[in-house]
Amino acid sequence: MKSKNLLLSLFLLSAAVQLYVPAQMILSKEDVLKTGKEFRFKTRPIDPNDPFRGKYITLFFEENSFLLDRTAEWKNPSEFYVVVVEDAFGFAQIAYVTEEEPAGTQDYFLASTSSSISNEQGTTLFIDFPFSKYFMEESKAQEAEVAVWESHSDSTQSTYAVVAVKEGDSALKNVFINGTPINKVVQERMKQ
Amino acid sequence: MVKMRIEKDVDQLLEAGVISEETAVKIRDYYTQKKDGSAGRLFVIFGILGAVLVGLGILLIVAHNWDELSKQTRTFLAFIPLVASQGICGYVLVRRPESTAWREGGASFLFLAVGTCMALVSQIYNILGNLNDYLFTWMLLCLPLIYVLKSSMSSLFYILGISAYVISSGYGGSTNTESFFYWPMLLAVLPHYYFLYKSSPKSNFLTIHSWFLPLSLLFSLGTLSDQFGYFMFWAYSSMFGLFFLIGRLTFFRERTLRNNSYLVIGSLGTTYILLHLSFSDFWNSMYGQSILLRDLLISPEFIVSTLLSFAACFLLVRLVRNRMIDFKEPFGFIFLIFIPVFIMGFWFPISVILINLLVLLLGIFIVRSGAKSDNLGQVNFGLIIIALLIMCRFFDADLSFVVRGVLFVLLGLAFFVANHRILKKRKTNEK
Repeated sequence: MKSKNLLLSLFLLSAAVQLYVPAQMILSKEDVLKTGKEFRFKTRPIDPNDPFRGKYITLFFEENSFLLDRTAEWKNPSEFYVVVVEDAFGFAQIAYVTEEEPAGTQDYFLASTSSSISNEQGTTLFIDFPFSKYFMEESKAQEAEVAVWESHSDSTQSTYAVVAVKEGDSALKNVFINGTPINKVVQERMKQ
Repeated sequence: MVKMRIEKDVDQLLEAGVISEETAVKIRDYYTQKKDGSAGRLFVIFGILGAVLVGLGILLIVAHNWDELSKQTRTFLAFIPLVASQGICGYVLVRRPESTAWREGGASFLFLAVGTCMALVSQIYNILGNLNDYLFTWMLLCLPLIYVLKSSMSSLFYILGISAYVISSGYGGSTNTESFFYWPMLLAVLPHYYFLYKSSPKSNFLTIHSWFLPLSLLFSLGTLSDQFGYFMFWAYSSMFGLFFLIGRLTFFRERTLRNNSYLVIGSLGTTYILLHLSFSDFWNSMYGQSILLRDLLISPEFIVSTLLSFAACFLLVRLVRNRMIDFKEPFGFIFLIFIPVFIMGFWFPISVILINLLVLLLGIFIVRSGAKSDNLGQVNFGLIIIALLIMCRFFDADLSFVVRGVLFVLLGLAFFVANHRILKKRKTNEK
């Protein structure tokens, strides 16, 4: 009986942790979505597949590199902070990257780098964004890709992702083509 | 149908006075019990299969990503399989702890539900994540199920999961320190393996674990390779030697090959390593390399090679002392010959010749001992080793087609003659 109670308590404890981990994922993202500052990142997506989570579109951001000048001390950390500001057109722009957590602003997120190129001017870091996957219903992902490609061939249209950023964390809210959410664009296209 | 036939046979035997009434009752009891046992086993199998299929089905349904539903609804739905399976497991623990089918089925469902819930949340919130973190968290969250629910299915899923984790994080990446977590995670499952060995030594679960664990080690050992990659061949050779020797322990030695994974993986692995190193390219690149002894001694490759060699030596000494292995079983000793041959390769170009000689002798030796003990499988295994060695030499030897053709004809004839002779000998013995 004693061992049965012990097993049951251990089970309840592990069940609580099993619930806590995904709940914590939700809570931290909800906080960023509600209280973080929204930025619009210009993007160009393509459609791959995820074995566990279904279909998504990968977002390639236009503003995806940062030039570190030669005097900057850079120790090639696996992760670093990217501080963002808004440009004159209301799109996100990388202000600077730093190894230390920045002070005096909330508008930064943690990112990593996939590659870098060094030349006379300095080192160009290519940034891997932590919000480069946008999950969609499997039937729509393919259509979304076509819609985005078409919008790109038309220079009057713009595609961007709305991302909430707060103190190192970030959460992708939606992807828009000319101000319309991509889900709606795809729905309209599928009706036609 | 079978039962009816047996009943009929028993009745006839009873009438003819071949068996007594008491024996007839015993026979009937035996078959009734056997039927009950197999029905129980079937229930376990179908219970697990059902739970796994439901779990995977839910995973696929949610992967569709129903984006017409609101975020809150999708989040709520994501937790339903998890909470439901936790409820089932709680019920099993309180009410049906003795039922293997309930325990294994419930645990399998919960195992998959945990993975599903995390995948769904990251889908709903577009969390990028990476496969390594996902597998790592999933496996850690499900580790308690193995012990709390005494679930072997969870343990098998867990071994698969941590193997996928070590393969995904340990190979090809620039930083492979992450994959070191695999080792303590593997250690965490060993008590359950020991529990199975003690409590149900003849169970299928133990046999499957005995396949999964060495295979997991086979794939994960390579992730320890860092600056001194060459030394992994030493590590692998000793590990295969160790596996073979485990396969010769009392517990495994009387088992069929299907149930003696360690013996099979040990002998096939050793053969593969030797054949792989029978090419001169490897030795050419290694020859004359200067290695800083100070760096080597603290490298993971060297440490793991030494540890595995010591473990294999320890087991070998034990088996030799108890007269459970002799020189007729070369796979138990090859790792000892391999170590000096491998080290010599840094200074002398002779190692490649020695390895080729070793493979040839191994083949001949196996054929000979197989022929002596009238073991057709062994004879053919030896011949296959020789055939593979010759084929490998075809790749780097500049032989004419005629010579290659003649060698193949001779090899084919050897297969034919050896098999024919043994079968003939068997027939004579039968007469």
